[in-house]
Amino acid sequence: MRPEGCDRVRPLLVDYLYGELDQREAARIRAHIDSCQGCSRHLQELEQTRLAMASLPALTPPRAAVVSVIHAAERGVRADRRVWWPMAPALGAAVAALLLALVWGHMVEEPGPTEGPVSGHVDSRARAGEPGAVVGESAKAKAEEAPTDAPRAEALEKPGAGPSRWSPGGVGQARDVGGGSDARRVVASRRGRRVPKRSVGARRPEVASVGRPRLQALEAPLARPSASKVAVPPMPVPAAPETVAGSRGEELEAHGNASSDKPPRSSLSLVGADGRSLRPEEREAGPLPALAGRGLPSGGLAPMLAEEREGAALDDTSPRAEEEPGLVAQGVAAFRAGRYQVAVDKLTEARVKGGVGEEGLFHLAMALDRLGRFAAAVQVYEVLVARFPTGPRIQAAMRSLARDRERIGDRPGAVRAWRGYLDRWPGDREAADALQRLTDGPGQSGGR
Amino acid sequence: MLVRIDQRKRSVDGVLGIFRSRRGAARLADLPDEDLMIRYRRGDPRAFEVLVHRHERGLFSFLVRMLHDAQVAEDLFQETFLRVVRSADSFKRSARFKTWLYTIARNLAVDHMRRSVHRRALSLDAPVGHDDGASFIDLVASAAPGSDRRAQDREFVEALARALADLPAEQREVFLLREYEAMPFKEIAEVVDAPVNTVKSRMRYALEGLRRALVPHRVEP
Repeated sequence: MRPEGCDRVRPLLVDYLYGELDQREAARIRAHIDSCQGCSRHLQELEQTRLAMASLPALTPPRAAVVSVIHAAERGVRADRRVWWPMAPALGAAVAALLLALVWGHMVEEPGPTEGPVSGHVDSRARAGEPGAVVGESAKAKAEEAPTDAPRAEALEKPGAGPSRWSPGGVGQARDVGGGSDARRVVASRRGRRVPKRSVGARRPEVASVGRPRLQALEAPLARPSASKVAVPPMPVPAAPETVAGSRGEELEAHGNASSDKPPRSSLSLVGADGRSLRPEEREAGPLPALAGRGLPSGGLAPMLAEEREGAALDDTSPRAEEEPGLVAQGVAAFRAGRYQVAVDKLTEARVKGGVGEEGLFHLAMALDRLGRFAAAVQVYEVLVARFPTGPRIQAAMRSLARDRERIGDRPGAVRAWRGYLDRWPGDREAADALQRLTDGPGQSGGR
Repeated sequence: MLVRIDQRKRSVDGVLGIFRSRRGAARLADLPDEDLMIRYRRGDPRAFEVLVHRHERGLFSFLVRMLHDAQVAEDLFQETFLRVVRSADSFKRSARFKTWLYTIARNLAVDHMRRSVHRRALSLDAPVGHDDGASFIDLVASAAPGSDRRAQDREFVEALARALADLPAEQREVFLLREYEAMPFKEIAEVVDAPVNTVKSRMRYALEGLRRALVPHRVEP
């Protein structure tokens, strides 16, 4: 028979083992362990298990993988530093023209015995520093270059209009500007030929390849257009798994952040947020949220929103496509940012306006959980389980549903939920213990 | 004469440059992750290099043990750092870099596990993707430190690896982060997006599961 207090001490043994208790609590546990053989033995076993597992050595990644990411980081920095370079030719031409105009102006005022290229004749435009003035072949070439390159420089800076600061095109062009291709570019400008955007990217200098071709493919994400740069999850928000790191999650964020400039569905379904083509398994992950087909309920939003906030379940058990991707993305982003009430508001609004999919419902339920509104969360989890019984969130949803039923004191409901869970995942020890606790143990279902 | 002086000056500059860069590297190595990340964001790629070297083994080990596939782990290892590079602008000094890094890595791993249908059928003896056909056990055993007698014991390492691999993923990730990365439970809760008490419960179940798994192998823990 265990001495009194074992039930309270056992759950804290892990904290004790890893030194995460304050001094007073640790002393209390220590005192109990000293007087209880069972807990002492249990602690010893845990310690020995820890020691045994510590024998597993750390693994070293292949050198090529490490070199690859370091190179990628260096390229990122270079791209940042050279963001102004595309404008350099235009600026240089303008400065040169200005200087030459000043020099010529000075020479005209004080004519010397020399060397002016066109002595006695000065184009008035040269004084004004305008391009096109007859001030010598070199300056003329630069002056001609300016109007051609300036729009290009602007285009490079426009999101979506061309390569951005992160793009290889931008970087590549920046490198070429200072290199030997400058002359070629000037010739192209003189001929009045417009430099196609693709050719900018095509002139990207080759990056030394490391390792397998796969590594090169992974370097590609740096070549993302700036429009998708906003899709990177904000730091330091810990987020739900497949939405933060997964490509689909990024796409959702891209929708949310750039709602006014939604790319066509077809391109999104084939191209990831990082600009690369989706792999087959990513494509199989499912279609993107539909962008159309929204509709408001006839009764208006307010009553339904209020109803939702009270946690009443809406009758939306029929499977529907996610019809408010912008709002859903905003809600998910708010959840990740820890703004749970905003998340609830956004996701509820999305749900009322047109319906949300599994992601939206799951984040809505989790946000309600975080706000301590377990009853409402239970309702949403139930809808989620009913609508998406085979979805990727189902296990987490069923687990949370059972836990929340416990929290609100619905012991029979919790038992049912845990049984349903164990029917599908019979090996889950945590669930089995929870069920055991509810069915055999003293009443512990009244909350956290 | 002038040429000689110039050459001498260049060699002195070269020596000074090496000295300066080494001194700089030593200083960088002393900086916390967050300062390094800020330095990288301001344009110092060496800071990122230090960060990568600091976390490469831990992160790669975490991914291999989560996925049992060194090839995929290698890809996700790179993808994780690439995502850090891409979103460096959004890094804030107040946040903990390691938590952020492992959140990205863990989410990538979870995504991959969800996508791969046959993950549970993976054998620890199956080739892990390296060209030499090495298995997960080979990989783990070959990396064992020579000084540790028990870790040199292939059977023992195999038993440990199997026990770890048999844990449910949500317990395994908590165990790996706490045991091998020394991450506090509060931070693990952030990484896995679960309440702290849940994380502690998972840790307890993981330890108990490992203990049970090691007993039949006659491995005295």
